[in-house]
Amino acid sequence: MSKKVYVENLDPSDPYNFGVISYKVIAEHVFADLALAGALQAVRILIDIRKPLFYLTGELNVVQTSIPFSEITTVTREDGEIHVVIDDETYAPEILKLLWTRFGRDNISQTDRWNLYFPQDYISVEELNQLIAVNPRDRIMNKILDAINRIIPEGFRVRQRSIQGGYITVIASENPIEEEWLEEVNKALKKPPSKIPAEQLEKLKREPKKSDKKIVPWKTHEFQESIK
Amino acid sequence: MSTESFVFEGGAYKHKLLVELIEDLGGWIIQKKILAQESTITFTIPNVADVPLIRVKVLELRGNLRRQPLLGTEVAIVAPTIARHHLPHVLCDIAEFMRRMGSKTNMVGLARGVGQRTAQISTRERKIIEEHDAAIFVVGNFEHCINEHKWKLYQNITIPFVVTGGPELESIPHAAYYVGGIGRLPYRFRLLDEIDKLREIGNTLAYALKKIREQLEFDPLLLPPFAVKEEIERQVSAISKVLSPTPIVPQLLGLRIKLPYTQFRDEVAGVKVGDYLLENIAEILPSNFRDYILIKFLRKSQIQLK
Repeated sequence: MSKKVYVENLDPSDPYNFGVISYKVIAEHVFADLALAGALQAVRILIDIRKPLFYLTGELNVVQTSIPFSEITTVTREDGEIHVVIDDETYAPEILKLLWTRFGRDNISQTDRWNLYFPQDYISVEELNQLIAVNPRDRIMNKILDAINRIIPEGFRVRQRSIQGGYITVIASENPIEEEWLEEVNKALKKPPSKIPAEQLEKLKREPKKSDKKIVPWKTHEFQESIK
Repeated sequence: MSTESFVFEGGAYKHKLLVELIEDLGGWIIQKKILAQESTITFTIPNVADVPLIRVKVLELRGNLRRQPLLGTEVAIVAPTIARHHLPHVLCDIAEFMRRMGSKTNMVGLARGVGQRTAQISTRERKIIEEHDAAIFVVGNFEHCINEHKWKLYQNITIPFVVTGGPELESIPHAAYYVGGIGRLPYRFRLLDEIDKLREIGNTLAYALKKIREQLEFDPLLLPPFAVKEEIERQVSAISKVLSPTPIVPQLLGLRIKLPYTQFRDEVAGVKVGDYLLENIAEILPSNFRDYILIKFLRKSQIQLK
């Protein structure tokens, strides 16, 4: 994951500003927390804190297949009612939500976690089997948007978001976003992403450092020394 | 004469010898917990010169002694907002460490502390922060923001405060104390050098409060807050029914009592402390925290003027 996040400063005077490069650590932790390693391919973050401007773009790698009812439920007709048995319980909230919005919450009776009944006049068994129950893309997209909201500095409330050609792009700022800024961003995007030098990354690395300091239990040790 | 606070951890057997010694030295026991064979005693002694006596006694009892530089203070930990960007990692770790150093902490999230141009603090928020003895402002990673914009949050704060941020800077505008290396971090503090950073904040805060304590020596309070706290607990029976873990919060120069001001003001004002009534040696004010009572003690010179 760590190789996929590229962070650059748009301000050339101080390219490895601590605040800017620390966003590499923040972004990596957020993606790891939300288990998004596979869904976003390469993330590029461009920051100019003086404007201020925060630009994030990432290549989406989201599975397009959707799951129909027939794959996760067993649908039968019983005594003038349609009986749905949920086979895969992980999708139960989505199935319930869909049926409630289509047929009304009062019309669907749920006897236990897996069994649902509703009148057969609404839909035929064949139609229901073909109906798309879950779209995994929606699930993962919500997660990606959540991750991006967590990464962007909180004060940057003016936001533009676009999902185009397999890329998600978010521009955030505190002030109205100007055309010139976007031109500057586009110019920077044409260059290949620059890597942060190893000695700068060293500052961000979090690992136990060797120190000569002896850890003495705080207890009475120092007092004993003083009494001698 | 300046006070020094400690926590003793050791066997419950013969712990009364220590309690007696503390009482003989004129100290106060703030908390005493006996759990099975173990005892934890938090106490303050009024004179630093007596510390060796305590040490010898603790060695005799084979216990542990730890300094509590922030005991008896109430500290506000202030974040720009209480969104996920600031909580839980940095803020909670700082608060927990301050508690381990003896202070009582409150977390304050500002309504509009975020951003550059939009960062601001309201009068009510400022008043709430100034009810504490000291404050810690936790800001982010950008040097530009800290130098140019964030000072709006703390430039008018009158209590001592420490600012913590990401970049390592020598000094920042409008703040006397700055601790770098603690900005917006997405993980918990676990490594030794990270814990050292937290200790640095605590020690900086203790240093800032020491100055107030030194001033206090020239014109002291009539009675230390701990002594008045004990009197209030004895005389105001409603305190025992308060469900908060600390119904009376001791501060450096006062007390916060978690009872409704409108109902209990007169009862608290009539508490007898030595030869005085509490209302003669202190100001009894409504707190900005809910409907609590805030007591600010008068200095000796102010009482003589009265």
